Amino acid sequence: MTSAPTRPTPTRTLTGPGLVLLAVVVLLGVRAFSPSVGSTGLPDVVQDFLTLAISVVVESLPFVVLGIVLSIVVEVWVPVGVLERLLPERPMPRRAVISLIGMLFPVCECGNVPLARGLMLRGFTPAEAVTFLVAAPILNPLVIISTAQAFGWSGWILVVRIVGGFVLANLVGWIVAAHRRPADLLLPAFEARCRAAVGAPRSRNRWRESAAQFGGETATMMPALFVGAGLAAAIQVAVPRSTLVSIGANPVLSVAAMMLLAMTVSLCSNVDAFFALSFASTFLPGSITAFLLIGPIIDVKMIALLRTTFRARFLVLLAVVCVLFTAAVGLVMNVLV
Amino acid sequence: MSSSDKAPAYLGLGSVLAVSVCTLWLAAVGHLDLYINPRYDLFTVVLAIVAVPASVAGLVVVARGHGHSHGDDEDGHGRTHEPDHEHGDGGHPHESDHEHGDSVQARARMRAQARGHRAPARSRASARRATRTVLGAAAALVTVGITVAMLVLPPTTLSARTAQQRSVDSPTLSNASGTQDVALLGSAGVDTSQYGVKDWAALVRQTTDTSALVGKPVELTGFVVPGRGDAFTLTRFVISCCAVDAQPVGLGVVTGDGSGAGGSGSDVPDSGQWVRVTGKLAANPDPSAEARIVVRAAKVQDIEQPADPYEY
Repeated sequence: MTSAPTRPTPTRTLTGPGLVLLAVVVLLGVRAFSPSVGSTGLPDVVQDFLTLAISVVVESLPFVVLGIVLSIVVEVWVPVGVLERLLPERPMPRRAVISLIGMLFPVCECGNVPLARGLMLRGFTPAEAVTFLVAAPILNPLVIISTAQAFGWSGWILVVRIVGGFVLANLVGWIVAAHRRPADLLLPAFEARCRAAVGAPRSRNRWRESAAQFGGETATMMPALFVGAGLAAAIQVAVPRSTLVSIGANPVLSVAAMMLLAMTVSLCSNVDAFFALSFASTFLPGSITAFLLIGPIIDVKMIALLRTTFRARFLVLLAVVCVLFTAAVGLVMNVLV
Repeated sequence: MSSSDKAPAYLGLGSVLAVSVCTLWLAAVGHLDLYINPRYDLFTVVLAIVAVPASVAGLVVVARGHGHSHGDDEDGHGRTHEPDHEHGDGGHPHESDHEHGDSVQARARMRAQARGHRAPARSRASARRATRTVLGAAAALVTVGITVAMLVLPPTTLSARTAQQRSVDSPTLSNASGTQDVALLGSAGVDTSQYGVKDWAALVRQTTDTSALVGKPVELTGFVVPGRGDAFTLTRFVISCCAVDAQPVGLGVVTGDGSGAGGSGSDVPDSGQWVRVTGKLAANPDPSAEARIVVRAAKVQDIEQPADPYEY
C-alpha cells in the first residue's frame, strides 16, 4: 500500500473496486475447481481454528450489516430532531427510554456497536449511547423470544435476564454520565468526528452519503470483527472446554465458570440461550443467568468491536462494572433459588 | 486523496463482499450448515443479499472520492473527515502524512498539553501512532487471511481433536430437544429407531434404572473418538448456533469380545473416521466408567462423512 498521490481521472477511479472485485472472483474461481467439501490436508489444529473463526464471521456478519444499515438510517435518513423530540428531557428517564430502543431496532451484540456510533454522530451523549450499547443486546424482541423458547416464561432466568439487563445498562449509563469528562472515554478521532458531525449540514445526496457511510463503517468494523473471531477461535482451540464445565455444581465457582465461558465463546446474544440450555442440567440457574447477562456485553469479539470507538479505560470500567454486577446477580440467584 | 487513504475502506468493503458472496455460494450448494445452525440460514442469506449491492455501491463511492465530503464545507475539516480514520485497535494502516489525521492528532496533543504533560506528549503521540500502524496492519492481515481461507478452502467439519478437547464424555449436555420420557421406554410402544447419538446419549445420562435400556437395538452414525482397548466413543457434534458452540455428544461403543481394556483393539477404526454402528445397548463392562450403558457393536462399518455431519 504505497501512498502515491493519484489524480482521480475517470479511468483510475474504478481500478480500486475493480481490483477488489477481481480478487473475490479469482479466489472463488479457485474454489470452483477444488472439491466442495472435505479435508484440506492441513493439521487438525489449523483446520479447526479456521472453521471456528469462519463460523464466527459467518454468524456475526449479518448482524453487523444490519447494525450498520440501521445506523445509516438513524444518521442519514431520520430527520434531525425526530428522535430527540420523543425522548424525555431529564437524563435518568431519558436513558431509561434509550435503553428500550433495542425493542424497536433488534440489533444484538455486533450490531449495537455501529448503531451506538450512529447515535453519537447524531448528537447523543456518550452516556446515552453506552446505555443503549449495554441494553440493546438483551432488551430486544429476538433475544427475549429465543430466551423464552429455551427457558420458558416461568422460572427466574428470563425475568432476571431482562430486568438485570435494564438495571445494568442504566447503571453503566449513570456511571458514564457522572464521569468528569465522558468524551474522554471515546477515541480522540471518533470524538472529533462526532463534534464535526453534529449540526453539520445534511448531504444533498443521501444515497451517496449512505454508500460512503457503509464504506466507512465497514472499514472500521470488519477488521475488528475478524480479529475478534480469530481470538475467539484461538481460545477455543487452545483451552480445553472440559476444565471449565467440570465445576458446574459449585454455587460460587460455577458462576465464574459460566461467565468465563460466555466471554470466550463470543456467541451472538440472539442465540446464546440455546447454547446455555445445553448446560442447564448441570449448572445452577444463577450461573446460567450470569452467562446470559455477561455474554452479550463483554466477550472477546465485543472487546475488539468496542475498541473501534472507545478508549481502553472505558473498556476496563465497563468490564469491571458488568462482571461485578453479573457475579452478584448469579450468586444471589444460586443461593436463593 | 491518496490511494492509501482508501485502503481501509477497500479492505472493509472487500471483506464484506467476499464473505457475503461466499455465504450465498455456500447456501446455494447446501454447505452453509457446516458453519451455522440451519435455523439462521434465512436471516443470514437475506442480509448477505443486502450486503452485496451495498458493498459494491460503497466501493464505487469511495473510489470516486466522494467519501463524506460536502462541496460547500468551508473549513475543510468538518464532515470531509473520511470515516476510515478512526484509530481503533481493529483499525487500519494509518498514514501519518494525512492532513485530517494530523489535525486530529494536533487536537489530541493540545488537550494533553492543556493537562500539563508538555514534553512527553509529542513522543508518546508518535509512539502511539506507530503502535496503531502495527496493530492496524496486523488486523488487516488477519482480515485478509481469514477471508482468503474462507474463499479458497473447502468447508470442513470440526475434527475429533476438538471433540476430545471439549470432553465427549462429560455429562453436560441435556436433552435440549425434548427426548421421550425414559420411563416410557420400558413399555414397548416407543419407536426408538429414529434416535440419533444425541438422543441416546441424553437418555443414558438421565436414566437411573438402566435395565430398561439394556437390549435395545440401535443403528447409529457418528465419528470415532478412540477410547481404551477395543472401545471407542461414537461421537456427533451438536450445534445450537454456529460451529463455535459445537458440543460433542457420544455413546461408548464396545467391539470384539467386550472385555474392555484387555482387547486387541484391532476392530477399532481410526480416530475421526465416520462409521455406522449396528448393535444393542448393554451394561458397560468397565465398572469404573461414568456411563453405565454402552453399545455392544455387532457390526462397525466405515462410511463417508454424511452430508449433514452435525446434529441440532
